Amino acid sequence: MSKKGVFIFAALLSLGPQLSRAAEPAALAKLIAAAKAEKEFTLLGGGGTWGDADAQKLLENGFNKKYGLNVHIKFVPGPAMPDLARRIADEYKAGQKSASDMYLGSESHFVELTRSDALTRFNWREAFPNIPAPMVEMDGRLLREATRYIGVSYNRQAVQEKDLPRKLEDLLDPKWKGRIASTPYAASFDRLASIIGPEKTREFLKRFTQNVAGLIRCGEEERLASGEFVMLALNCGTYEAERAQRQGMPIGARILSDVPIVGYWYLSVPKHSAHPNMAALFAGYLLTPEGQKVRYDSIGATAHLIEGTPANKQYKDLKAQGIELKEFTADFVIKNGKKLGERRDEFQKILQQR
Amino acid sequence: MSVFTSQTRDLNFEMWRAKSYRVSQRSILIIIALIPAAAIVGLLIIPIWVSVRAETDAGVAFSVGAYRALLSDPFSYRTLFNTAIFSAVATLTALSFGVPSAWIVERTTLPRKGLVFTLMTSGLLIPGFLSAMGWVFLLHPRIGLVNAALGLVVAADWARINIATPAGMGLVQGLGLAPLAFIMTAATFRSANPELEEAAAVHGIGGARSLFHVTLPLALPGILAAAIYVLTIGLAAFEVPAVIGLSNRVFTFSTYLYSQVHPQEGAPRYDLAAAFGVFVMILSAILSWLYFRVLREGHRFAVVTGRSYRPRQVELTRGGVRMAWGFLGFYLVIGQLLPLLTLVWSSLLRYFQLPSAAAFANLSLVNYRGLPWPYLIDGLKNTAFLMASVSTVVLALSLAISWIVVRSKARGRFLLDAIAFLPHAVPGIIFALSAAYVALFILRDYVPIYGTVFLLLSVYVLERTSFGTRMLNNAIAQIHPELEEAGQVMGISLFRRIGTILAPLLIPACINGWLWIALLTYRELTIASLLVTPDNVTLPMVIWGLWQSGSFTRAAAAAAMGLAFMLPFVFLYWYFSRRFAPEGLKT
Repeated sequence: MSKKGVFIFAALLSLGPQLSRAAEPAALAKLIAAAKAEKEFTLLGGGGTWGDADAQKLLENGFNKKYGLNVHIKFVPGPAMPDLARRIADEYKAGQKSASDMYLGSESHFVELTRSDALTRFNWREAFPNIPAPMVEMDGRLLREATRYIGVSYNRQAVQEKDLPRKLEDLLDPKWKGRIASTPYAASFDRLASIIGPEKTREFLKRFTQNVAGLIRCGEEERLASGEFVMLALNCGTYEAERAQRQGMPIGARILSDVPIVGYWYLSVPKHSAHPNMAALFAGYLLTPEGQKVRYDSIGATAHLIEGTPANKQYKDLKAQGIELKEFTADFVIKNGKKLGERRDEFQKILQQR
Repeated sequence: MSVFTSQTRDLNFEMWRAKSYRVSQRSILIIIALIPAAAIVGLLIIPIWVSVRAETDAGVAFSVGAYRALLSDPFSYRTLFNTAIFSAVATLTALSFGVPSAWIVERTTLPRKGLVFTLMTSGLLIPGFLSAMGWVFLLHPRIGLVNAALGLVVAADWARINIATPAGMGLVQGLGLAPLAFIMTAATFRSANPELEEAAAVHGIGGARSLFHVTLPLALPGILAAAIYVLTIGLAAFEVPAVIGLSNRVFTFSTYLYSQVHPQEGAPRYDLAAAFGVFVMILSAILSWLYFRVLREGHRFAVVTGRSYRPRQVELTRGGVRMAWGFLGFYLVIGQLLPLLTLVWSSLLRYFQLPSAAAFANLSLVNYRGLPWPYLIDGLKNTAFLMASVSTVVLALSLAISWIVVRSKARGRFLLDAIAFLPHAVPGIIFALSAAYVALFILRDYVPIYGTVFLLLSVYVLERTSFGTRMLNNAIAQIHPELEEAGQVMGISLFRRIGTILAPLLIPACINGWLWIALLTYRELTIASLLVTPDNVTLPMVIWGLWQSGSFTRAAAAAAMGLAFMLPFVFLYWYFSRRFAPEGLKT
């Protein structure tokens, strides 16, 4: 390439973000302008939510680059998702500013937040036309951030490929007795009941709990890697195991073909956020191709409705295998909150009390 | 008929003024003591209210549903049984190591005893959940290092030690609480009057008999106070049962409570948690009553009097020195060194592995590099502020409360002491919930304290007042009132008597108390977990946040950094506590 060509290429590269912003929708331009006035924002959450220091730096840099900002994102190690949801709801009721400018949680964590009417309704697709319509739920209060394929996570050194469970029934094999873990909150078993019925789920759990050696939380892959437990069933998303694998842990994950449950992580902006525009802009950024790449590199979770993401590829693969995924949205969980809650209480007792 | 002269009128006026001055000083002291007591009562009424409150379609109604649910569930009774075993084993373990260690350090001529003091103190810096993780990897039936070694000798399953039982957890908790028993009883042994031991020696009673028939009975109030204190910690202990028990389906009350208040999905059962809190408050009242009975007998054990105060130490033979070091070394290795080594080891790994060639090849500083440094430093600053301020305020308030409880004849003084003790026995999580509620919904328009470090300061002070008052009750009970009575006869005012007679004698206890309240503040997690916001984050919360997100090894790295930050502090205060201790109390 000639010197002139190199110069033009470099100039185009440097102008790239500005050129792309020239084609921005007016709503996005307005949002960026409002966000610039806010200068900074705060995000509370555990390492599983916003990643480690490196991941947070990537997010901050990527966000600033994308929208030509110079924003400091204050990532604060915070409580678990349900605790944070409760705090945000309490702060809203008390008329206090929200401790976190944005909330990220699973479909179950929004029951109280929506009941308290603590979340902002936002016209996401007006500012971010790339966001597919099904990703916006609850009248714009919730935005799907990532897809979670529920299955089992396991220690690859302790469990051979041929021994892996393929169906739910395989988890009852006596060879797992005293070796596997489940979650103290019976993750996804209430969804299982919606697929196979509460009675069958109850019977399954009563037998399954005989094999369970202990209860660990999702995200504790280190306890699988250390050999304390050889498997976690059901997990909160196969992406967590894949992330652990990339970090050098001998961890794998598998979806059970007869219970292909799908859940989501959702983003929301509390009404009492101190920096709502910045939070909304950041939420939109996370669903851009650049944002999804950073999220994949740091957390591992991406959205299957966004073309080209790992979750999108996994979705297509599962479809090609003939697996009919059972989707559980926040809309479904919030509308059936009472019934699901009662089931969850019952299933938790079975798992916790043996 | 009396004749009033100007001189008698002046004298009467002076006497009236002196009397009213004394009354006002006593009143001031009572007001100072009543402020935290009122705050404690206020915060504890909230869980009672929540426990009988039910939200219905028609509004809020009175209900005993939470109590019915708690009492009708067989799981509650199993949890109660587990908690009883756990607390009993924790208390026995803590006293078994703490009391002899305190006696050895304070009452014998053991060389280099200052090192023991520092090591015992620094043991408290290791967060309980990381010690517990260390023990999981030492005594886990499948992956525990010790069990792996035992497996080489005996193949049978019965030869394995299972840490995931109520007794196993109690052992781990007790090892962690031994420094607390040590520090609570050290002041007692330090102030013990050797005259009675010397009298025993004159009558031909040997060292061991003298120890069991003179020294230990003299120290009984201090030991019982420590036992009650440790027992109540056991009732509400969270970290060890959470790490070891929860994942192995062995529940104690605290983890049962936690599971109700912190459901991963669905609404929290605050009513059940509050009902549990009320239940523990009743247990606390019983323990307080037992404690007060001991305290009421305190005068029989008064060991520091105005006439004779010459603490002397038992001369150890060479064999005695070896035995003492053997005992202390055994505790320090299993209670402190092993968890500490496990902590540092795990901080260098991406995930926990037993020592092996492969594990050594994987050692790196990646966990340290990935720490959220800005927040770690913010947390450290806030924690340092809280350590200094909480300790100072607690000691000032505790001195007022303890003086009223032990020295005054004020009506309701034992009720005041019971109230001061309550925050210790009521699970911190209940206390924090109440405080958050008050700050958010009651104080917000008058004192906007929510989200500030001052909310943490206030709640920590109330919570730690129980520790401060146990320590000072015990210390004041051991100082015979004749010294202050002599001052009163000489017309010295109450504040001057406290300042010039009582306070100097309390210096050793106060220095110990200050240091330990600071260290307990450093560790405080349960309350912080509900009250911390981005603006008042503490160091333990940074570590806990990492642990909660499943980053155990990174949490270990953060804890190791915290330990490194805090060690100079421990050495500094150990140095000053020795330097400013009165002559004769220095070791």
